[in-house]
Amino acid sequence: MRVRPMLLKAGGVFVLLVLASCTLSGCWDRIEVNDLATITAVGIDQYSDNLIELSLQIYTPPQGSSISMQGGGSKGSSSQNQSTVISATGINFADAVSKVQEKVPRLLFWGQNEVFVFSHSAAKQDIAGHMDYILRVPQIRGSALVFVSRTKAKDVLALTPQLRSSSADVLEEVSNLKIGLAMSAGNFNIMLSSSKGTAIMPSIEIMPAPEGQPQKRYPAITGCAVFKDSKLAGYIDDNITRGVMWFRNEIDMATATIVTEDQGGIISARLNRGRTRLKPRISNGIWEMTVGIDTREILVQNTSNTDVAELKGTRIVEEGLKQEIEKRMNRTLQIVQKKFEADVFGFAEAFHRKYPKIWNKEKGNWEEIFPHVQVKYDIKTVIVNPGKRTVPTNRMEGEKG
Amino acid sequence: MMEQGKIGGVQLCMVMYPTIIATAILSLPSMAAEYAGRDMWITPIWAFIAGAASLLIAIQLNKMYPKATVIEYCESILGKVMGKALGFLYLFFYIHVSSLILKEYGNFIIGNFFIKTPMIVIVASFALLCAYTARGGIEVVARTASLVTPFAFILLMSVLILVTPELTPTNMLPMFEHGLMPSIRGSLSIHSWYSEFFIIAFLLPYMHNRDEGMKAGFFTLLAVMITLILVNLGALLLMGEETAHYIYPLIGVARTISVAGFFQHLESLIMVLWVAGTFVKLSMFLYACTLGASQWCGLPRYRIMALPVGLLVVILSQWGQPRLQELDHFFNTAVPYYLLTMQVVVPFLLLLAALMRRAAK
Repeated sequence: MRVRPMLLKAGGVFVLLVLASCTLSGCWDRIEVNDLATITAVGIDQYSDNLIELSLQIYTPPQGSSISMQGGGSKGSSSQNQSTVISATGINFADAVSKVQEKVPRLLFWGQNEVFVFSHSAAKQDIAGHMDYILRVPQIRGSALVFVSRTKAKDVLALTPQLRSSSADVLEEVSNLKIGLAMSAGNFNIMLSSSKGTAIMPSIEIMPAPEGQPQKRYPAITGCAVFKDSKLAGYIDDNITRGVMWFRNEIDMATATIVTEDQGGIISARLNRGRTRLKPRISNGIWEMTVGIDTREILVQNTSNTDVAELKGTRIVEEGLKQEIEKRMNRTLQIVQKKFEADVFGFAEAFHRKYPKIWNKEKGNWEEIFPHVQVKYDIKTVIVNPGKRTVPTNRMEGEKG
Repeated sequence: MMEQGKIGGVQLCMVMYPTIIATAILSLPSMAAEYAGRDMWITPIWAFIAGAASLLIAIQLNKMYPKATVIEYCESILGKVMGKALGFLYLFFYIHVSSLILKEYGNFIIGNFFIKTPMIVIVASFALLCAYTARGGIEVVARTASLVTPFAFILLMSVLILVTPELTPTNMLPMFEHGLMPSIRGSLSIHSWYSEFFIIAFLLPYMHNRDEGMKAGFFTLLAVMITLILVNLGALLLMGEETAHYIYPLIGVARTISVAGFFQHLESLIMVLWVAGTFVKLSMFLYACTLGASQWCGLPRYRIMALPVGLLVVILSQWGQPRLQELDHFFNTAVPYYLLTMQVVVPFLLLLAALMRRAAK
């Protein structure tokens, strides 16, 4: 009688399989995708003295997409607004989030949010409080980008720009290009906490619409906002921001243009590779910082008489570029070091690393020391090639430079 | 002898590596950073001492009692009454530590991923799986480990490699800013984690070749040390001293990864590797508890003990308030001394007693 045990065994396995399949149906707190409201950007405005207005840009899938698929794709849906903005007020970030949730018939989903926009007044009032919520709640990504908007953050989210599907997308992609400063919530917080409330955050403005399409206005990064004591202290423009990026060794894309008066023309070179090193020195109580910059550039335009194919001419251009960079950095220092007195360059860290003992004694006085740190430059520019051409296009055949 | 299975040197490594690493990679960077700051990456090197000590003691004891586990040689060394008492203490200790592992596991999964799932569901289903593995015996534990460990290792390494573009190496400087003390103080928790190497005492009697045990043990210790240095470095170079302010820094590390703009949101990798690692760890601990309990009671077979022990561990893990803060407080204050006492000090005294006993003969 071997049939019975086998049957029993098979039956047991079957029961087990059925039981196991009960657990395979999914997690306990699973939620269907069409019950979620996917947040693509978050805007924070100061509504009144003690109320903030939180705006969420929520991705709305095109309605009736199944029909358009059958019909071979209707053109109307692609140009349709793919996101809506919903906002609510609250006494802090968390409170406002719960108020927005009351208005949305789907569960808010934070996993895809890559952009936080703070309005000027919200950043001024309580940036640290907002950051706390962003970095504490497990669902929110600390790698999301942060921006300060000079206009209302809600308006920025409501934009429907060209070339990209939403304003969040614009900001994300522009930051990826690394032309301007890009700052994530996590890094902003590290900067804020490691330098006692001094930090920078890219600032954005709404650009005017292209002609004929008034609804196609778009946001753009126009510089950055400087924070002191965890409060918004002011803005620096695009040029100064790029100076700051030079100091911070974050420069990636840059085109420098110099006007050579004696050579009669304009020369532009594009940065191919740049690297900045801070070399601190403390002697006789004088704090000194040498900013060493190494760049490799490629010539992109030349309308001067300088023969850029020759070593001699190249040297002249390199010298000109060097002065151009130094000028820009000096202007940056004037504003950031003297006017704002905000150490966003990482000088404190550099001193801390080189002189840990002196630093630990003096770190309380850094506020007073920083504006008087003497900055020197050690800039090396090398033009690695003159581009595709040797002589300028306006040079005639047989003419001698 | 109760356990008929035998394992090899490589299998020993496969079991022991996640048994130490699994829970260590999650919360240790934060604990180390709290005291050691920028020197946190040095802490795993200091902890080598505790790891080597517990390993050597376990191996020496095994040389004197080659066929016995801790529970059994306690009796041979201390006599019937004292031996049973210490054996019970060890049994209690391993069941308690298993419940702590389970509690940490539940807290992590609920805190980060399955926020609304009841703790008991997550904890009990996991414990059931591990108890089932433990019931299978040493060979099953070793074989599942050989299956899971390389996978978890590759995941961990790929997370660390993928995050390298975001790292700032200068975050390490200045080294030894306040001397050696902060890093030594910060290594206390890691010392206690390394002392879990003593659980090898439950594996050594069942090695094919006992000389391999020593080699495999120290190889694992080295691998554990290097892994922990890398994990600490990853957190330090990414977040600097902010590491201390996050409960699970490794999640932050994984979240930062962004390759080519689309290969991102990788924190689920951490969950996978952590569940895989903790599975091996808890299976090993439950196996030790199961085997120990049956040896202590003098049962002929241990399989019958697996589920009751698992149940006990689940219940124990639900004791106390469901607060992460409470668990953290316990880990930061009592646990280092608790683990070091039971896994280094007491075994050392056992070894001394055994040596004296032999000398007296």
